[in-house]
Amino acid sequence: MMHKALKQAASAGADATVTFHESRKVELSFEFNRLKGIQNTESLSLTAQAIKDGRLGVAFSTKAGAEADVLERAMRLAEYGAPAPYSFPAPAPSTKPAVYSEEIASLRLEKMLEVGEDLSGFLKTLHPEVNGSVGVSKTTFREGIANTKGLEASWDRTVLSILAAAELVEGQNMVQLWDFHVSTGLDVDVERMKREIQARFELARKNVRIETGTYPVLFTPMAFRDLVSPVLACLNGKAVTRGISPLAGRLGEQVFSPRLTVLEDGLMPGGLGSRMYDAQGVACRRTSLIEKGVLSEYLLDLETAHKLGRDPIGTGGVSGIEPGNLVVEGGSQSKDDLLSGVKRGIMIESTMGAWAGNPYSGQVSGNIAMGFLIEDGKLVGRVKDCMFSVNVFKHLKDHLVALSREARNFGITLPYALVENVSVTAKSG
Amino acid sequence: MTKSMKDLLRSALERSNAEYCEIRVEETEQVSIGFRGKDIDQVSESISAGGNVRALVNGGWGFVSFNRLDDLERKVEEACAQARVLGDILRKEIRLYPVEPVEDEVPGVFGTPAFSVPLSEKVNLLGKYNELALSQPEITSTSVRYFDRHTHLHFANSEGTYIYQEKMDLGGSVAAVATRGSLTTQEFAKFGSNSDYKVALGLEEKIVRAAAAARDMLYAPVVKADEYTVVLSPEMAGLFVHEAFGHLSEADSLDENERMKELLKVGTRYGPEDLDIFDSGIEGGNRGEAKYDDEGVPMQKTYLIKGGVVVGHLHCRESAMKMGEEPTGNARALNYRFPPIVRMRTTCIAPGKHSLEDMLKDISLGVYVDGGYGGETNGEMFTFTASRCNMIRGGAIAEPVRDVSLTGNVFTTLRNIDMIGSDFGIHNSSGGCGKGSQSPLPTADGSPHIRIQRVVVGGERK
Repeated sequence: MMHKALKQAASAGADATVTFHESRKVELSFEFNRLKGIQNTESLSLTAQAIKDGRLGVAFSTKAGAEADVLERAMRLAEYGAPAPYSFPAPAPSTKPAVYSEEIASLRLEKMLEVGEDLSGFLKTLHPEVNGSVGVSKTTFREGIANTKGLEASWDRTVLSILAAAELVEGQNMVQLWDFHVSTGLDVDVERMKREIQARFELARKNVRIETGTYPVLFTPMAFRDLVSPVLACLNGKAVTRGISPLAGRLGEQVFSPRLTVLEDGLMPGGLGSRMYDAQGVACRRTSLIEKGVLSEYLLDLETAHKLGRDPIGTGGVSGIEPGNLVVEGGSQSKDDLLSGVKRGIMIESTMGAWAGNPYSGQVSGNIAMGFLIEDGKLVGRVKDCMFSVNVFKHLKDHLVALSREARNFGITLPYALVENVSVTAKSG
Repeated sequence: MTKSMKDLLRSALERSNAEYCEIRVEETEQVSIGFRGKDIDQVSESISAGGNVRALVNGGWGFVSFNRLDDLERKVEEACAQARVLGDILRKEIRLYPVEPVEDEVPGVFGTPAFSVPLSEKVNLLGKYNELALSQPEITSTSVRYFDRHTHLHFANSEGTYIYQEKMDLGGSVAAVATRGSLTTQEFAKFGSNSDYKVALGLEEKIVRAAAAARDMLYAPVVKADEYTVVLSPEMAGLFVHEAFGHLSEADSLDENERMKELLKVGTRYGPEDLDIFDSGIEGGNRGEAKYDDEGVPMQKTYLIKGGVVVGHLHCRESAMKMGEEPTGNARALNYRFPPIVRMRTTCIAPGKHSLEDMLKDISLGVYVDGGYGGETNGEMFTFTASRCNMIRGGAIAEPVRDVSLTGNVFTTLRNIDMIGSDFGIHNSSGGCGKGSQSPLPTADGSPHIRIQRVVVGGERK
């Protein structure tokens, strides 16, 4: 079907690519400490990109067997589409990333129920009035790509995802703590999740006051994402070619602390975004973006690579740049060492609203949704009703003290980060 | 097609052995157009067709979603079997609030339907907006986004309801981006509607204003972090009420949570006597409004706060039954891949009696907040980030400041509202609301200007 449709597109003068994506997800949810529902989601989608007369048209469909239709529509839309002074690549060798687990694919509902019941039961032990939510899901994906240059490849992926959350309302004080696991293999440690939640539950119920000021802050990997996101937005080739990224034209410069190394690895074993080829047919690979603070590459697709005169790196998408797996490399110290070195500071575990804002200014402000005061290297209680503000271009250059050796992978792999001189505004009285 | 779909759904539902079962089948055609800088960025079309079945047995919900519509009977059996697996464990009674079965066909009532406007016309219009934005002083780049959707939605349940609704949704934004040295700022002209392409027309003035604001921000300092009296523009106050009180009123997070139920109990005072908050699916023309929600319940206008006191909540049929209140038509699903959950529609602070001048005149130092990037809440606290702000000095709007984020405790902040303006307006944009994994769901917000005492504003230290 796909061959025939691509052949027809080629004979109509188009340089075309078709990608497909099929998934089956089984998801169990527990709410208010009890089983709530099972969801089965089957989904398929087809995407065609066609370059005709130097312009690109794109069409999507969720209908099975619609290859010819999406290609025909993409070719028709090319008349109005973006200028495309590049062509889709001829097949280049790539490898199937290690992201498929037969154990997950064949995981039985009973086993998922068992894990969910176990976690849900654990959450109840935290406090008689705790509202525990648990989600357990497994997904199997099949993805593939073919183009008019003869590329044809497909690969499989599995994802296991477990979320446990505890909420406690005491008066107008709400405690929300959660932990999660997500992986392409069955290497799940439910006991670690329990320990993480247990360790902070009592502390989170004890509010402590802080004064407005500047503090050293230990960002957990989840919270550190808020600081890394604007950096990624500025590394995005589209922002660079539009001249709105402050990182434009600065390859080879020391733009961040030597402690910061960021890379993209579309073939990473166990990577949630691993794949053989990106959505434009470029073979995925490992590329350093920031090497010891020095800007070494941007996130590129065919268009931006062409405009900047660089080679694509396998992060092309249909509607913009799509990285596979981004990794911020960790340091040599453990997160406990980082914590114990803080005399008086804050550990920020989750934030609210920090994603909103202008990423190109580098300014990140958010509410500290869950954060703890650190005194003499120990967590002493929860800080709330305050905001933190940093400028990532300043703070990740001059105030990045250390990154931990432990890291979490949730699509992007991040360590804990100790950052000094973070502005914190607290409510008075 | 409509008739045969009704029969198809009804005959599939005959396979149900659940206490309750529903099927939803949906087909959506979407057009998306984007410009970045001087070039068109993308033109795409998408066709999305699929459905889902939801079944309830002994307190357990089974849900199956799919793209292939050729074997609905089997999907009904699958959802019922799943619900039974859960029901056998739970053995709990969950009842849905009874509603009168409805048979209705609701063709779209559109001003200018977006799907009847030729693609070339849309591309031309957006191209002109893009050029206009780029021609403004110090504007170095742009980002123009537009989409429209046309949906045929069929819903049937085991109680005898069958509803067909034709829906439209469109939204967009023109961002003017200004750059000076390594600083980039941007401001948006936004639009959205559920019924009329004409909202996309005549945006020139808005775009010129957005460009001027982006330029002002280039020279504006970062706001000094502190607690301030703030005056929120109608657009920002709309975002505030959505985040700060709308989410809290969603009864699916209250119905089994005794403490939260207590906090949101009818009769509890949370604001001044002139504070009214409502959520409505029938204001007309706004994104997310429709005749029926995704459980087939008619949408309505629901007061959440009247005279500063809690008077109601937003419900699906399950939460309404559990709390002994009437369903409000707030069960909404992002699309056929998701079950309906309790969501907002158009959420508003009703107009009061003050003018903007009244609000400003006795503020010696404060912040005027306009133009929002977005916000978030966790039930207890809310936050949002503004793109366009000014200091208020000596009772008047003064110099611009940038990178303003606000935060507060939901309950105390509502109590700290001390003035409500008379200049009410509803705002639609291309964005939407997120809850669970269902995002962005089209919603709208409305409000007049409001004034709030003692709001924490994040920013740089002196």
